[in-house]
Amino acid sequence: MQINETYCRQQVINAIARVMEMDDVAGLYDGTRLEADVGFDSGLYIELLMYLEESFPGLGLDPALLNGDDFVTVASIARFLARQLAAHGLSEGV
Amino acid sequence: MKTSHNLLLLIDYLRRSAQCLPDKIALLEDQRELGYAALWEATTGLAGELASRGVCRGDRVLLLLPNAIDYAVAFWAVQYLGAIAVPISPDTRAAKLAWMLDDCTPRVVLASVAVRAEVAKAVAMARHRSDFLWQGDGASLSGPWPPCPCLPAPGGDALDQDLAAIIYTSGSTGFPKGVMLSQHNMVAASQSVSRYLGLAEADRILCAIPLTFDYGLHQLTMSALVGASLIIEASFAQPLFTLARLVQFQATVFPIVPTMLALLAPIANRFDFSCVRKVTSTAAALHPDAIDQIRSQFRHAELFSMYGLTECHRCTYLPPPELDRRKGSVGIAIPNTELWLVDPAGRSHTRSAEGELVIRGSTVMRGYWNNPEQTALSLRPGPLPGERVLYTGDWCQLDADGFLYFLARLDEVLKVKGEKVAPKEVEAVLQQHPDIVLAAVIGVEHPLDGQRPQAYVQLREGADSSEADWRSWCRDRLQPFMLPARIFALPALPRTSNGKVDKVALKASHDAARRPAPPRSLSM
Repeated sequence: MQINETYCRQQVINAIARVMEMDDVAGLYDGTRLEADVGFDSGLYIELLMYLEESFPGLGLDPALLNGDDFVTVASIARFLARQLAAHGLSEGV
Repeated sequence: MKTSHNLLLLIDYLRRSAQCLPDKIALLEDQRELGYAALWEATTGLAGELASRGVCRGDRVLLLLPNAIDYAVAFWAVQYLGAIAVPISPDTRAAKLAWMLDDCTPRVVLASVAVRAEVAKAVAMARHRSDFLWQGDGASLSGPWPPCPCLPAPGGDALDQDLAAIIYTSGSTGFPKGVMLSQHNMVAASQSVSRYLGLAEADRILCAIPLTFDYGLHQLTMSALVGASLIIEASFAQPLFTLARLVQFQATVFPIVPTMLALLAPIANRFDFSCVRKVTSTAAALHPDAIDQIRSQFRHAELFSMYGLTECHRCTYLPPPELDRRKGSVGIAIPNTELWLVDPAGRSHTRSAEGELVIRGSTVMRGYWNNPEQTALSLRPGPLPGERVLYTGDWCQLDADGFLYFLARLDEVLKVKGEKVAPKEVEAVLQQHPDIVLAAVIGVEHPLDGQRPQAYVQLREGADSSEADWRSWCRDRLQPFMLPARIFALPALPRTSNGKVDKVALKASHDAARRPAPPRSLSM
């Protein structure tokens, strides 16, 4: 399966839903802001990273490469994720 | 770096580094960096703007700014003019801010546009009128500014006796106290601390501590003194991203406060902190568990456990090799200062004693701004004619080798049957009980004993011990007069906004419970 941005976005949404223990993800879309809209706080990002790593076997996210600007909206995280997958040579499928 | 220059004023630090290390990075923030020469240029630019608004030597300038490069430029511009920086947290509420405006009567206020509404409320309440210069929303304090024909020489002819800063500390009661720090005070403090920390030009200091605290502010002075680079973080509210930058920028020095440790714990093991050479912490004392945590997370770092008051910046530090031998000690006097304890009979001691901590040295403040009564309580005659030493109001202990242990603020010490009891000592014993996770001890009035210690404890989940068990635990470990009269378990101890146990609330609930119930006829 080709991992495209749509797929990344879905994984990001799933991970956010797991962190926030949301049953319904209908309210989560590209422009959803983690802190302002979903109520993320600083302690939750590490959990989000762990769930993202779980979604892509072989993916290890180096926290030292993180930048707050990548973790603002669903779309910005999806772009970050796509870049990391490419860097890990995981873009071609799972 | 050349050491031939006289470093009499803080601005001399920056001038020397700008001359000797023009291209070296002085300051870094999220999206921006500034070399020493560029920082000097921004500083003189803003100093010119302030001068054209009438600021000169001795004038107060309020810094109501977030942690950012602009804060540093503002602080240095004020120093350039020989004026007095008054750093105030941008979170300060209107009523308190209005009081401060009237107390220190600043010529100019440098404020973030983010707090404009609160500032407007304060201005409406205050009598004093200041000129405002806003930062943010595209307006940078770093300039460029139009050249100023009236710019004085660096330092504005200030003497080292003149004030460099006024830092407000919240008094336990009433209004804040403005700690007056002279150029000489701040030069002495920054040189003493950077010496025992061994700071050097190659260091990169990551500061997530508010620059409005003296602990944060001195990261700025010390980095300019040694020509190091200072990485300024807005706060520690986003620990994951702050730690990411710590690694990206390969920071070598990481100043912390103990409340940051809880935020570090769950994420630290994902990072490689081998770049960090020194972790500094300032507080009453580091808990042994905290020492273990920091050491396991920062394996290549020396840990400096330190303790101080704004009134003298820093009292003591524990040399890292002593950490294991003297757990709980806050160490020895910092270089170029000395300390002793004064016992209740008025005798001075330098070892094996308990008493109020006194500090002597060039770091001791000039007094509290507009507050001669409080100044007279804190600053009292020293050994030389005309000299004044700092009575800290801290009740401490010295061991046989002269290492210091903080016990309590003097206004927290209980007087039980004529003996002094530090609540912290009793709390420490209670917290060693396997079922107790947190303990707080307050004093309750007693007709015969004067006061009696009363304890409140928070238990671990599944605990099945009772008050009788905790009392017998204490009896085995404390002198009889120190034993709590009662020990109550609460589901959770009340906390203040900064996370400390709220003893005022505990005392209030105790007093309310003891108030006689209204007579039945009235309550119906």
